Amino acid sequence: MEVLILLIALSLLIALGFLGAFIWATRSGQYDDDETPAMRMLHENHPQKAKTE
Amino acid sequence: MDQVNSGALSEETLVMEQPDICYHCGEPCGHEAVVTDDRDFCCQGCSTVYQIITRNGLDDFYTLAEKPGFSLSQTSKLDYSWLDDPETRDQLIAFRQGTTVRVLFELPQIHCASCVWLLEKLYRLNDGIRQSRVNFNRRELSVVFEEDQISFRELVELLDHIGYRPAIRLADLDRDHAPAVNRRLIYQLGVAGFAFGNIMLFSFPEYLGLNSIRESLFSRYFGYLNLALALPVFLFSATDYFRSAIAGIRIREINMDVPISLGILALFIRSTVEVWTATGAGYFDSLAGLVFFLLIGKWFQQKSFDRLSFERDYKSYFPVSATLEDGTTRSLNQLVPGDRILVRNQELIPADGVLLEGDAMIDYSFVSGESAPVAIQPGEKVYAGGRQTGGRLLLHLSHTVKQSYLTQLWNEQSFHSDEKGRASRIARVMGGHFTWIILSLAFGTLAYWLAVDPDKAIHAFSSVLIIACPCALALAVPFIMGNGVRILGNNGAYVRGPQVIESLATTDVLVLDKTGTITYADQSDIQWQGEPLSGDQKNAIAAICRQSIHPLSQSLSAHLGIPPRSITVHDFHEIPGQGLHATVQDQDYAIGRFGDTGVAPETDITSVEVHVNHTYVGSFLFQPRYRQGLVDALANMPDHMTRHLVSGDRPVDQAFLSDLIGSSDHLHFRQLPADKLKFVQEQQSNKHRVLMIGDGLNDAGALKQSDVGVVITESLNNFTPASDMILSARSFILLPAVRKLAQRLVSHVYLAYGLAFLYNVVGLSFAIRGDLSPIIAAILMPLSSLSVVIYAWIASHLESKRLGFSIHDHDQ
Repeated sequence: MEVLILLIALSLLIALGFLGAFIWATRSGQYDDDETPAMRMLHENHPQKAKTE
Repeated sequence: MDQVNSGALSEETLVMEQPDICYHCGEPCGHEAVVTDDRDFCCQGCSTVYQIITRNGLDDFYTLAEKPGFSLSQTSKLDYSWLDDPETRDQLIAFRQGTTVRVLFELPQIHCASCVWLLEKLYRLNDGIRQSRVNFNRRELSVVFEEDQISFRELVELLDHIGYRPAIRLADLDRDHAPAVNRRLIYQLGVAGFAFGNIMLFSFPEYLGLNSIRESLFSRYFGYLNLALALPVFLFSATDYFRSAIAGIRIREINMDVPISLGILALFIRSTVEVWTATGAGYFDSLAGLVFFLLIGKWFQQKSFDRLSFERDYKSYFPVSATLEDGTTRSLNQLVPGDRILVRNQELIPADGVLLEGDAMIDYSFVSGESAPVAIQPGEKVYAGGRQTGGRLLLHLSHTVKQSYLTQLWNEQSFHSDEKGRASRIARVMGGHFTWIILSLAFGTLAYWLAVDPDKAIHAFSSVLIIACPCALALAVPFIMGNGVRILGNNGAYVRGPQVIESLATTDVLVLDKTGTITYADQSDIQWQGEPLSGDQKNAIAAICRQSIHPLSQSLSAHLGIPPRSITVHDFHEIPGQGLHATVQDQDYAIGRFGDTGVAPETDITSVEVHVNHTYVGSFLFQPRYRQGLVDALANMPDHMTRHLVSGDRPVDQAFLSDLIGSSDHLHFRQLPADKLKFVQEQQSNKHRVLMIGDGLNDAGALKQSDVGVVITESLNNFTPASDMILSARSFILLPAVRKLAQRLVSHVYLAYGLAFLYNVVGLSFAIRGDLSPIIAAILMPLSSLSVVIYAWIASHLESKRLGFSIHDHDQ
């Protein structure tokens, strides 16, 4: 049963990893603008036409 | 891919069906359509933009949204040479490293996905541009470019050229470019959410009652883990509540954050003691949940209208620089008395001065409320903020920008006082009552148990503080008012914050400005008084008026329409302050104000006389055009609300206006900006709460002084003075409904308080008896919060629907 203690510590460690990811995302500005990326991603995958003229 | 193609196809069929619609902006083309690549454009500007875009392989711009451009026919060319001045330029630049420069532009024209797409493809228009990123919410564009390949000025000109004119204002010179995003709250929310989830997980044995069969090792282990997880919540996520509570107590005011802080403190201390002494599991789950919910409420309420500014002063209205007599430019901050400056057509006068040369026809409507432009003779004074309409002027400055008549208004007291606090008044008042109630309850409980069973005393005392923590109460205002703010915003009424809705609900005096507020600033109803004009005469007058840039000539020519090309105007000359003379089809025309009229038009109406062959034939009368829906909007305002009209203009149309306002005693004309401010103060000293509606800088003081200052604007891109609410002109008719919604929402806040209080009574009945267990707290507290949030959501949506507001954003 004592192995639970180790497993719980591990689970908490993983959760901390996600918290770290969240903090990194916030710090890199991903929450600063929540509207433009939604528009941008619709465009980026669109095949580019070469300069026509 | 298919979708994009079909979009392009439907676009083309649309163009074929309606050949008179501009391919770029969707405006009707009129007679002067420009045809490029078999496509119609309303003006040369649109055609140019189209060519720039398609020649660079950016045709997709036209497939991503319908008619993504905007008409350029109204915009005049601007001279950007002042941007070459290194000092001015460096103040506008955000960051520089070597020749690489980053700059942040405000582009109010950004309005659709195509704009984002085009602006982020700037690097295809010029090789010097490295990268460009749009922030749609803030209508901002950040550009990184190489200074040795494209100068700052060329960049601005490029943006202007493709139709996105950067808004560069005097205020930009003083501003630092720090992003206004509150990341701290996001961190706090993340940490609290993380701790909440994990603490709940570790509290599971407790919830399921497993502790009795497990050895105490686990429960102690979990207890310490919970304590470790709760520490950052207590020390980081919740700190703003402690800070606000202490700040409140310092100014002898008990706000809602005081009982919240008490609850959090009680939760933390009690739980820590329980874990430390191994006497219980503690209430860490409730603690983390409480803080998490509170922060969500805060975050929800924080959403504001980034693109709108409610704090603007004259600095946002004035340009950045002025042109000196010798053609060089100088930053406005550096202008000194004695400088001679040039002011061109449609430019603002930056500082007070004396007119030296030129035909001055100055439009003061925005700064003083006078509807008609004023003719100024050389040698007379001109005031900052007026807009020249006509030819070029030479001015001798007598004041600096900061000391000019208009800008001095900003030194008035009302511009610096900030007594209109940002916190919700209801929450403040309720918080005060509430704190005293729970404190007396807690100490009553403590006294009772000390007498009956001292062992239970501290337990019961802290239980009362914990369970009474007004989480649900604290969520009522953010969610109801926050929803209100959003729904109003979707309907064209943008409020500065939730507290404005509360103030709006209690206003009982309506003060209206005239020019630009209840009338259209740039439109008037033109009537002909005199002998009927023949078609030829009308065309002749239209053709003559088209030769002049005088505002009255311009509105006359717009009124009469475009004359046939066959009409030619001979011997045209304009006498400033008088009018136009010309010969058309061998007839002599004189149009203007010559002082000898056959009929005497009402003195309070602007008129233009027409003489043909030296005989008076009649006059055009310019009536102010009242805003659409004005009569209905005022009729729907409650009768007990007193109305006043406070205008900077001369008395006009008194019969109609006194009918509208209800009494001729309530019409106040020729009011200077300071008079308007004083008027509002007088009303307030009579215990009235003032709702003021205005539009221009002349209303700025009164708007700021009012309990709720509403600015009405034709376009959200325009400058609006500091205010509590910005009302889009098309939503003017909604004003009575907005006020009604505000009142309903306030009563729903009280109902939500009642609901939260019911939960509190249940919880307190456990706590006072000393029977509060962690699991009851863990169920009761989230449950009450959730009920309040759900109630807030349903109530605010239902009320909005009932009053005819649309819930969803149809603006963008």
